[in-house]
Amino acid sequence: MARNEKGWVSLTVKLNVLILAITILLAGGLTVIAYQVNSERVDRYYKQTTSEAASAIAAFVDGDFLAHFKESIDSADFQKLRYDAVEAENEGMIRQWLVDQGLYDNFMKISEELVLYREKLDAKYIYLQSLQGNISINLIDPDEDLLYIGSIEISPEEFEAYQGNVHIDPTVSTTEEYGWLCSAYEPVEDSQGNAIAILGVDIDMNDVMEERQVFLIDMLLFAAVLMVVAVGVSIVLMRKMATKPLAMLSQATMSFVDGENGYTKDDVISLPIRSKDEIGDLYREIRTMESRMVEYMDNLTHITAEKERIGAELNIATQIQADMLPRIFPPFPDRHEFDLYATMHPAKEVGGDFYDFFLVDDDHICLVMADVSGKGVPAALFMVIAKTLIKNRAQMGDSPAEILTNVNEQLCQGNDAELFVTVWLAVIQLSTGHGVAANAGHEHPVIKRKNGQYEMVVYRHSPAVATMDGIRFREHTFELNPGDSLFVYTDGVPEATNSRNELFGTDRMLFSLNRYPNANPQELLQTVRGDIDAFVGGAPQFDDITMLSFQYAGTEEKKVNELTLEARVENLDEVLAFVDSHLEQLNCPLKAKMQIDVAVEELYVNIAHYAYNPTVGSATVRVEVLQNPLAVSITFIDHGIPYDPLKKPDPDVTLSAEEREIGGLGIYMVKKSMDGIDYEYKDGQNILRIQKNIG
Amino acid sequence: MNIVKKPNGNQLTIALEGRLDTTTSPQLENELRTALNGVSEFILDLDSLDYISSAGLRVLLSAQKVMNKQGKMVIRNVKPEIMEIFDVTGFVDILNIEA
Repeated sequence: MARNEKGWVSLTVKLNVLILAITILLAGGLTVIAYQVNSERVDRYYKQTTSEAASAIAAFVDGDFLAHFKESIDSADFQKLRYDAVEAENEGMIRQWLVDQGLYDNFMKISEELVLYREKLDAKYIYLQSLQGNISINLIDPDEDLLYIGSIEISPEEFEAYQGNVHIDPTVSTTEEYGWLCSAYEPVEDSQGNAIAILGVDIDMNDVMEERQVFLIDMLLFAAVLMVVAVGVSIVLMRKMATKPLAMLSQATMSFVDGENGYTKDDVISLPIRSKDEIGDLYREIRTMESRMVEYMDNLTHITAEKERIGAELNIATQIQADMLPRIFPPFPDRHEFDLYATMHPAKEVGGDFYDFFLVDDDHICLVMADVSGKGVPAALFMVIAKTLIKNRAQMGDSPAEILTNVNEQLCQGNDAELFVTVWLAVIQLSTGHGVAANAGHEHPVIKRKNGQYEMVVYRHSPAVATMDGIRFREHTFELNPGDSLFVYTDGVPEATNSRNELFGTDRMLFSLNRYPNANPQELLQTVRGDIDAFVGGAPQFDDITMLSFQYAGTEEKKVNELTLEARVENLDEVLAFVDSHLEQLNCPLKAKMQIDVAVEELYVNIAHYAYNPTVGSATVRVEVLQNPLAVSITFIDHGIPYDPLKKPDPDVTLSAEEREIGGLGIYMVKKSMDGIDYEYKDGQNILRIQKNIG
Repeated sequence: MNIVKKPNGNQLTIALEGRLDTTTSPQLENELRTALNGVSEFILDLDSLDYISSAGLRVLLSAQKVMNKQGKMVIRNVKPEIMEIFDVTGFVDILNIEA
């Protein structure tokens, strides 16, 4: 609780209030008890003295005279006389009567004796009264005039106890008339022992009472002084022993907590506290605790700085990795044969997935989709090497299987981390849509034919790259026709997992791909990505998610009566099948068909053998049907060395076997069997056209 | 293409079935390279040959040259379509074709 909070009261104030209260209670209590004890003792002494005085005096009073005197006063004569005397305020009448009755001398004698006793005993009043029921009749009182004799008073309450010889306790009382008095009463008896009257003695206590007040005030004053001294001493001692060190501790700890100067070793509290008590212990514990805290903070600061440094470097690594992947779309704005889009979303800062695409030459594009085993920095480093090696090798014009074989050999060297990489790699000829692909343990590619659906192409894969030395990789060919689309991805797509541990799976992926059949590659990947995100929800992404979409548009609207392929002898059957399929539609006679076949074979094989020697290029075969007369025109186009076969001289067919040369026969046969043949070289292309009537 | 061999002493009969073209003629060429050793009479039966191109003609020509040195070579059962090619190319005059 901080000092400025409501309800905060300093410990000094609390303790001092407590001490003050205790002192007041003690001093006050003592004063009251002392006063009480003292008062009681004084009262008792006075009562005893008064009572003893009354008892002594009563013994000396002449009881027999008093009995006679009382009788006389009770008489009707005296009552009448007294009434008149009081009326006339003439005490002489009473004195005369007393003289007449012979009572006066004895009356005066007792009166004088009472005065004498009063003075000796330092009493205030001494008097004699007779008691009758609850009234008392005044007999002798030296302080009053004679009119007083026989007057009647209501008895004080204590007299009710006076029955015969019962002793009345002396009293201490105060009245406005007489002040503080101690009164004692003693019966006066005649010679027969009858109680005639009572003798009252009053001793003045006003001085005593005054002294008592003074005593009380002195006591209170003394107590107050004592209190002030006690509180003062306790405040000083408490300040020295407890509150001051505590306040210092509190202050120092608070300034450490605020941490205005940071949390260094110099900020650990250091106070002149050496006491061997709880406060000393507390100080030492806090000191130890703060030292440890500073140590801990130092460690923490160090670790945090280290973490930040690594984090910053990882961010740079992520940036470098992202920069390594081609990210500018469209990548080849002046190429219209295809549309292409690819994305990678790494799961951690740097990922092991990558895609790549680049033109090998003017007519070939290489597509790569790969996934390095593992994640994080090691996978990313391996990915960089794999990507570079693949691209280098691909740009040398190797086929996919050759590329992977070579990269495998290089990656296997010194692969102590035993990482490997699954790769799908394809080289596609842009002019024909002819593709060659190799799949090293990678996911099945997905293909969509024009107006069709995206479907997975399942076949046997080669092992992943860098798993073992000397692996041979298989490759296969495929044809893309204008409007066909290719979608490749890493396992991050089908294995995206939601919070219920369900996989996204290839079925959902295909469904997602087929949602918008006419989407362009970018829209397609966004759709799939959106569907994955919706499926996964808030679950964390475990694996990199990488996708590539390639849509083939073709050189132009490719005619169905045209076939472009690699000019290899092995493709001869494909060419013949293509030509024959047209001839069959025309119900071509068998003989003409064979002649055409021979011509196609001779011309195509010629291109395959010589046009691009020693490399390989493309050849296009176009079939056209002419009417009236019905004829077939076949055109051969290649980009090879300019060569006009028609200029070659015809062989001499009349020579003997030994004289005949091998070669030149093929074109001769074509010339002989066809109805028309012409050649031109145009735009870097050899264009040879033959025509055969089949009507 | 199928090559059916029937050796009989110094006589060898080979029947060709199918197409003798650029792709298949190396097959025949390989076969003959060894098969003609010590053969004095070589009979080539083309009854089932449907097609021949210049590559096939080349193999026939070199076989004829070999057999001219060590004996004789006879070609039998030539289909009209094949015969026409032999006509065009002048092979009718080189080869010994039995009717």
